[in-house]
Amino acid sequence: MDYIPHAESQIKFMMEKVGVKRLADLFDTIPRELLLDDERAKAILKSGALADNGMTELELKNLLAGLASKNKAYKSIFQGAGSYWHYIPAVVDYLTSRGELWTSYTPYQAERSQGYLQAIFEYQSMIAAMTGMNFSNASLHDGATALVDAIVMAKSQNKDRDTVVIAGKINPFYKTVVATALMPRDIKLICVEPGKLAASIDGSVMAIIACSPDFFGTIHDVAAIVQATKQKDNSILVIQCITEALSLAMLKSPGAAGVDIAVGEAQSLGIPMCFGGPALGFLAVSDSKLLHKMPGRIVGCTKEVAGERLGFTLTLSAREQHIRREKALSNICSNEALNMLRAAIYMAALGGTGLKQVATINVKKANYLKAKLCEIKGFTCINEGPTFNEFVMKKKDTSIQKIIKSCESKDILGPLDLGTVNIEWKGLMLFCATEMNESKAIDDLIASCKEGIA
Amino acid sequence: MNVPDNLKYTQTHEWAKLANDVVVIGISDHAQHELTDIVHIDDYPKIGSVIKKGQVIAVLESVKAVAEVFAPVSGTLLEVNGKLEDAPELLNKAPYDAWIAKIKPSEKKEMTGLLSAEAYKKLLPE
Amino acid sequence: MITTIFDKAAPGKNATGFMTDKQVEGVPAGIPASLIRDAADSLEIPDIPEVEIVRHYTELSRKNYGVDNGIYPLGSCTMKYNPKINETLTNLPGFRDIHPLQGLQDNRGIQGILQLLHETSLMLAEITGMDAFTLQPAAGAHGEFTGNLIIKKYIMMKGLDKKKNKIIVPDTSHGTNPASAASCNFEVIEIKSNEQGLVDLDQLAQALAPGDVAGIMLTNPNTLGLFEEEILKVTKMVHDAGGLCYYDGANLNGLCGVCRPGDMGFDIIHVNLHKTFSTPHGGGGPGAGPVGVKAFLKELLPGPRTALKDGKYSFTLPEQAGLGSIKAFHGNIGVVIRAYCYMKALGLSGLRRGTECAVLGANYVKVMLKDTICVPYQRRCYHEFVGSDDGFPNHVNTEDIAKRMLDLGVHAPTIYFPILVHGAIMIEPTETEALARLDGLVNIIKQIHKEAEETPAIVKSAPNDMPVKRLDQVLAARNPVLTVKALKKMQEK
Repeated sequence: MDYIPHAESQIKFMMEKVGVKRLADLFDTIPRELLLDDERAKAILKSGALADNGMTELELKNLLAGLASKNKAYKSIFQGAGSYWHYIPAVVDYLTSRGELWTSYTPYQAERSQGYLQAIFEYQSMIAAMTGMNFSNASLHDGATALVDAIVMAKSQNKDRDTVVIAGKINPFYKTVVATALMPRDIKLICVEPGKLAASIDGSVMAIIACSPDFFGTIHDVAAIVQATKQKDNSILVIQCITEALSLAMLKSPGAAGVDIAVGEAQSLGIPMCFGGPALGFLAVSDSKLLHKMPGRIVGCTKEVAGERLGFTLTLSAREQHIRREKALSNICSNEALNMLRAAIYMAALGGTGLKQVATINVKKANYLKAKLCEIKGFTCINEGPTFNEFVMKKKDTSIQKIIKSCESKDILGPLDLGTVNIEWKGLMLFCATEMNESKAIDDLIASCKEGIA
Repeated sequence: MNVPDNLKYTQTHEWAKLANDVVVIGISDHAQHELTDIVHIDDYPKIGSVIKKGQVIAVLESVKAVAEVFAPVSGTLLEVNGKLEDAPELLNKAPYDAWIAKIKPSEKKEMTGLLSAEAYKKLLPE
Repeated sequence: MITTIFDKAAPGKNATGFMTDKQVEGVPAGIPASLIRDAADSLEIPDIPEVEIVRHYTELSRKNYGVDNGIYPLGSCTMKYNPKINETLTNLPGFRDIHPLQGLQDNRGIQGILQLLHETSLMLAEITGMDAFTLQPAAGAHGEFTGNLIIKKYIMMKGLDKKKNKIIVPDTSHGTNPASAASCNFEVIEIKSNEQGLVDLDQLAQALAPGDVAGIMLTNPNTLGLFEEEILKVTKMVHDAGGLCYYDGANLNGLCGVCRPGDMGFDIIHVNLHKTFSTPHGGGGPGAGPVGVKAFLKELLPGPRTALKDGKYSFTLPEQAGLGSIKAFHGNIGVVIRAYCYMKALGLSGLRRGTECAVLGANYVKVMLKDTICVPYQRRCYHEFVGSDDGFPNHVNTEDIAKRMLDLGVHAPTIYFPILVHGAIMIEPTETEALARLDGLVNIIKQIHKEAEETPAIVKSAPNDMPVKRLDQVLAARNPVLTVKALKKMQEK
């Protein structure tokens, strides 16, 4: 099927007006040797993945249902590592399915897009509240790309420096993205334990990245990191990277800690995991100088030119690629707007009180699970400080795969075997517990871990 | 277009004035008119840094455009006009009063190479 | 007065109920007070009753306009209809609720999604004439960045990165092109288009002569809606000078299924799934910008790679030797699934048909407006064409025309781009606009022309029938008010 609304007679009518006898004549400025005629068109279909003919809606449904059934949607998930399983309130799907919103594009014509612009403005306000900062943008692609953007911002303030120090365990997928994206720019990355931070600061450092909660789930004293940094050199920017945005509802905010740029992943706020994407990167600053270096769309409130009513509009556009071109700090155009809308509705749906409560339940469930696991002989928790909803267990002489297979038989996605992500982490398991993990599932997980003892 | 006689000019529409061993720099009336309402100025080099003639010493933003300000002379950057941070519109209202930067010149001779008011007027469209 | 969602507060009320959990009630949080938000750092998000949330966003949606409302002729954005079945299918639990790291070691429990991703890569490769794809980029610009990274890595591997440090773009290029090149530390050379609005071969030769060009970025059809008739010559010239050719797929809707960038000599391309492949624009995103390459660049693709062996699908995480990763996980998978559905629903013949109707529709609107709008470049246009406000009476300009279109019930086209055309108006109807819609658009523009002649005030003051009239962009930028908190402060003054 296709979605073309024309009857044959209408196509013929338009062809007459345009002055072509065959539709193929429309492509008269394309060199003949490049055109795919019917025969050549069929010949390019080698793999069988694309057919020449389409299918009906029912056939499509059957095809996709078949593929979906070959994926396991576990009844309970105990993995995080940058993608989190949380409850999504019914209003999120309902409201984001309104066609005026999700079939619109970037609100270039402000007067016709006051609805979406206001929604973005409110999202910016909520992220500012969550991060304790003054200004937020309207979304970036994910936490990893947002971190890259923050580093680029830091470089713009310290043009003659080339080193970034990462304090706390960084999500390894984020580390790869940062290394890849900064490859042409010759920026060095150094990883240190937060305690050894001061020693690593020298004249070449442009930014410190404080991961908190970090990849192992540990919550760090970010205010102390900021102090230690600014004391040594006030021009170094401190970036806090947060992969679990829900933690912002409970933990000391980046703004209160004195951080310069708060970035991270907000998928936890009303966005399904969907095998990792689309996601939602957030970025917030407090200093107005950094505001002018922020990437992405920003919505502001202003007055009418010829009236007194207030309205919303995209603003500070001179930062962006369509005006700055090769001088722009970021090339971003399309962003993650619909996910941003989901996050705003999620935060509204839970409310400040609800967000704090869900965050608290996450912490308590993780602590409960942690305590129960520590009761099992040979299991130790290796986190050196308090944790949010993730933590790492080490077990000597355990086949982690045995645990995972046992979980699978109980329809549970068990912990992440960290050895599969980094060989130095062999023997370590990353657990995540959220408000979604029911008592029975937790009990089943613990039972599976006990079974895993060789 | 207002083009005061007592100033020197560049091809890129900056004005410069030498006074007490300091070169004061701004943008011409033509420049502010082309840019329309200026909303932000930023990206100065560090105070005290060595500036080469032709180097970018500031970036101006309007709603729809961006324009670089180029140093008419070489020297050391002494000061930038802090008033412009909160009131960039001064550049539109009074381009010859709202100076942008002050440079201690390393080669005072470079001033003679700049355009006189007459020569600059010839560059402007009718 | 503006009421925001923050004004609908009712402490103690929300949309989900306040969650408690008996199993963990007595468990301590175990986090020292110094690491927790205190009174001075309290979370300033209100509690809001569900009915008010629903009414608020419903009201906001009524102040907005999407493809579901009517024609949305934004040039270069391809605002075609978004099939609803794709939404339903993407939200199946077997897609929606799978964690990106499940099956990391043994590929179990993810065979369905791996098959979908693998087939998508194959389909895109066949449609575009390329050899391998990465599905990781989250948008077209992200794909352009990826492409520039690949060019950079390629020349670094040849030890030529100091020598070949320039990327060429035409003056009609979208801002993301030079921005992407610059973020890979390339110097951007912009070459002027010729009188026909196409790449000027002399300018190109001049730019290539010094031998320091790493590549060229082109869109075809270009942003004037014209096909680069000398494209084979252009790509050959760049190749002969030791450069690579990058294709910006934003305008693929003018050629999809009819001819292929891979056959034109392009080495690296991106496609926009949210344009050509019908995934919804979402108010600005999410999109997806898969990047395809010719075989000799295959090892440089970033992101996870899918493979099929003995009937089993697998994926490998990017090796350090390859390019790495440009996004945390596999890509904007939810968007990829929708595009997969679209390609399967249409088949190659459906894609071709769509392109034919897109090009027919744009040419029809152009012909019907020939006495109304000045179109400076008169060669065959493809899926879009660019007009200008030249000749509109009484100093009515492009902005006025666009704003008046809002009053008359449609969304405005892309305006003031490309900058090559003074007062540019870029119209792309797409293939999913019925004849009555196209005629409606034509009549609206004709009416505005008439108004410009007879009653210009109503055009110059437009929009008159929207929730607000034209907004003060200068004030917005000079005094940024970017949060509800800042707005309240401003209102108190």
